[in-house]
Amino acid sequence: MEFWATVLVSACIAAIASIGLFLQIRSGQLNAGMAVFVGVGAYGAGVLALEAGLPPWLDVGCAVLLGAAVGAVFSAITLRLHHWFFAIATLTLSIAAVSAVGRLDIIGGPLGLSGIPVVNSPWPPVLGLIACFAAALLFDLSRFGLAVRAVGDDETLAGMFGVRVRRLRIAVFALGAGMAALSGALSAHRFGVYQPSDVGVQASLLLLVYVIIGGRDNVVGPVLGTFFLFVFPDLVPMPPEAQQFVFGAMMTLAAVVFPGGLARIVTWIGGMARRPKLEG
Amino acid sequence: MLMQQLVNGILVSGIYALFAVGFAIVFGIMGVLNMAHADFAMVAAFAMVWSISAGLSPIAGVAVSILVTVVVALLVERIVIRPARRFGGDAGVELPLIATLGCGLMLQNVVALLFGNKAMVFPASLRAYWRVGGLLVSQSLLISFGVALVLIAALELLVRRSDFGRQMRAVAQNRTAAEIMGINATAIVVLSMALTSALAGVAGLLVGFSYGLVSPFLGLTYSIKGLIAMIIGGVGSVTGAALGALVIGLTEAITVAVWGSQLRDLSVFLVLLAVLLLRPSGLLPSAARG
Repeated sequence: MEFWATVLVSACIAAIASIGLFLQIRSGQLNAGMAVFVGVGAYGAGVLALEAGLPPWLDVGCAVLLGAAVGAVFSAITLRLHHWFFAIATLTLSIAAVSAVGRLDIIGGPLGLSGIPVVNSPWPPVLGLIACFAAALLFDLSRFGLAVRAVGDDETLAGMFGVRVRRLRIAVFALGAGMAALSGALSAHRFGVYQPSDVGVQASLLLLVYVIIGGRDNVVGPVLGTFFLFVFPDLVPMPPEAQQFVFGAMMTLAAVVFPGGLARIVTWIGGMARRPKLEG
Repeated sequence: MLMQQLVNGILVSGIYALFAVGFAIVFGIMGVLNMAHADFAMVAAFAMVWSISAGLSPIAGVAVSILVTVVVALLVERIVIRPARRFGGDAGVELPLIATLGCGLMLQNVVALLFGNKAMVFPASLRAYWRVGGLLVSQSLLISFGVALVLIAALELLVRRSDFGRQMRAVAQNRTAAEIMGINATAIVVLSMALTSALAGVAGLLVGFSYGLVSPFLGLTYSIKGLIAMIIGGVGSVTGAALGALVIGLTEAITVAVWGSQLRDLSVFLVLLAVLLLRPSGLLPSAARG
């Protein structure tokens, strides 16, 4: 019981970042370096707690603002880039971040931060996830959500219909980065340590895998994907390489066969189950 | 120290260039960023490790590894890339990118399961140096650079002068129009895939030959460098990609000499960002491309 509680709380923390990534991908910003923005939150919260002695709720709040600000700046610099070039730029950012973070002594250099005050309560991650889910759902259903989808589909066309493309891209990316920072700050306070490799490509791609496998039709997808991929390795024990292989296979399958991901499969099964009742 | 690093930077850019032109050709012809491209190189390197341990001669080993790589690449093209390209618009680029990223993950981990997840000693490497006026020149890197230069020159000639090259460029420019003119576009795509994966195979063997160690996860480093070199050179051009690789090699070398090896990856990112902001269409003037 204790074990599953730990797994589920970790999944909650990761799902917060997945939701943020989902929003960014929706706006046409295929972020393959999300772990960097998670890291901004984690390092931000950690440094504020260790150096300035702020209480956890305050340093987490500051970390979220910091993450959103860094996200806005990054998005403003890369406004010209679209889907795939954006993906490469962010992938490179993730690799570059590991080497840059290792050089900064204030955040622990190559060893990372340790001794961050640990908060054991499961409520901050759970409430954080619920809040982000609700915010993303409202955002997605609002007229801004429609505009974001239009921008993700075709920026020029969206612009011609009066969508303020640049402003929207920056705002959505900042929102997503803020959620990533929240996820990072919560994770820093849960485990007490944070290392340069946590902002690397492995971590970034894993978040991308969660969203792709979960599905990008609506906000349920990324949450479903994250929980599925957190629980799955513990239900079916296998060596890490085999597990990575399965993740890769699922990612390929999701792209080639089911672009809607798990969420669409679940809706589809739900529809199949309901149909006989409708006929009867 | 700076001169030494510059020499290393130029020599290592040959290997980067082989990756970059592979990405550029696949992107030019199929409109796909093949994220598994550098993993094909890794497959070739491990096929070589296996061939030598199975008692084949080095020449036979090279042939076997390139053959294995081409077969793997054609399977990926047929099973993954082609179906993932059936959607139009942006999804037509995004889904193959995600799908090939997944393929790369599968290839890395299959090899890691078969050979273990640690770096392995590459059976055919050369770790000797020449002294040229106080500078150390790695023999293996110099040979790799020469091989890369010859292959890229041959490729440029093939693309510019041969019938196959003309057909490739026609498909890259407008697939439908090319088909109307009687070009079998599918065959051109398959052949280009075979060609680029063979190049990736050679690149993988050169990596092993030059550094003496290969790891199942070596692909990522070279994917990034190859992709960035392609972007810097202006997407879809062979010469541009090779030039981009040189820029990356030199940037890394200068960074290592001045600020130390830890900031190497950061410097490459900054160069990418600078090029994307200042010259988004690449370093070459657009008239020189095509």
